[in-house]
Amino acid sequence: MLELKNISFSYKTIIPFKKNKVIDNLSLKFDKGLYSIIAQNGWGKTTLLKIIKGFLIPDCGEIIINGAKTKFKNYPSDYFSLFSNSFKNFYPQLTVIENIKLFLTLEDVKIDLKKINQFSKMLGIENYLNKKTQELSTGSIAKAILLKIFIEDKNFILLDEPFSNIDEKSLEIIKDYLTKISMKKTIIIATSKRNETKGFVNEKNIISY
Amino acid sequence: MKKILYLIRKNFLIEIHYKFSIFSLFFSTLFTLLIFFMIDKYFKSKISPFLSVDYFSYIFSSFMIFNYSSNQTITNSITSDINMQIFENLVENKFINYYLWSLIIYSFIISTTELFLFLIFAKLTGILNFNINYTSLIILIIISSLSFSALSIITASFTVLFKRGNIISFLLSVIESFFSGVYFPVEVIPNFLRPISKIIPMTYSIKASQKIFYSNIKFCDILEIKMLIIFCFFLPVSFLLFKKAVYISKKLGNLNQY
Repeated sequence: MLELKNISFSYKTIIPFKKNKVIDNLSLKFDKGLYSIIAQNGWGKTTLLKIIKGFLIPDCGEIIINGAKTKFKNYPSDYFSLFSNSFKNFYPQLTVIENIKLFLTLEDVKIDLKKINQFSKMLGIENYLNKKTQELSTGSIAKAILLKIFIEDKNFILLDEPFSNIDEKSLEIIKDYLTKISMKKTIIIATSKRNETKGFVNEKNIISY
Repeated sequence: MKKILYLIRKNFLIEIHYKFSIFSLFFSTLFTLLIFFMIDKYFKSKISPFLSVDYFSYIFSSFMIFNYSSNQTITNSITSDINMQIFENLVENKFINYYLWSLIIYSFIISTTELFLFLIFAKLTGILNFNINYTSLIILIIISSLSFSALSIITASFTVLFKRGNIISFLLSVIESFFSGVYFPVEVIPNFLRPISKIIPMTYSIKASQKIFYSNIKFCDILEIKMLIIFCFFLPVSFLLFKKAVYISKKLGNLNQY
């Protein structure tokens, strides 16, 4: 279970000192299952997911993971997998498989080639594994990052606008898989488009702003 | 160790991706050395009295050591990771130490490869008369590399916070190239400025390199190496500073901005 209590965050510059408040006193609670945060552009969806992942440290508030209060100095980032369309997750100069191997190693996840092949076939990117990431389309890169996330198999999956570049056929497969694994995991999907999660995420799990 | 190896491999793959990158590194050093070779030929009689060896020999050894700092592999890699917006993924608490060690080792491998290529080149062409103590040389480059890395990581900490506005990086390279005796012996520097030379590790590395390249001296007989070991103790400090910079940057929200 994941709980955010009174989280506030501002982007700041040092010289001159300026503050731009993005999230103000936000409290949310997530249990196992599929959740969706729907809000317009600029609301702070990416910022929120980055705070949960530990890439940003909030001005105030606390994050409770499975009942334990976290310390931001030693934040347990490894509980979470984060997908974001707004920043790169892979080195463009490396092939997909090289990127996957690198980040799985860093995350202490065993490199299981059988599993990688299985997921790559499921996502339709089996022919792209040995291609350099920069040679792929935006949709294929998104699928490759999702592939890495599926193999990481973490308890909390944070997806920031995950479906915007993915074709319809693959979209159905990905949604089916996410539904299947959501029994055991907390999956949070941040999106600005309501129809992306319609009929896929349970209405009571949709947080709308 | 596996994590460090994967990160080093990543750096090599990126370097190889830009096909001419390694060649340009080698050729830029080669042509810089050629300039000094010509200067030495032209001014020989005027420069030599200040030095125990000829000017080109002096420049060659000091430049080879200076390369360990001036190639700025650590700062450049961090800047590149920030630019590519991958930096956030690499400086998670769990693997920030692996990330920094991979940069130190990668920088060492690049500079050492270049050093030995130039040594072979100089030997084959016969342009220099070395009398190298290789054990001392290896100890010198390891210790120098560690002490320079400490400074590079401290500089990179400022890059994490101030991005392109990082004046520390500029200052360090100016101070190192002017005060450490890379291009001329520190004895030439005015007396009142000489204390600056004493607080930078590069000065001791260059002095030690002169003895190792041309006098076949054992490392235990080189006082400068003992001084360099003191500078190595800054390495843990640099790691702490870098972690602090990352922490502050996470609070500011500018970790992936450049």
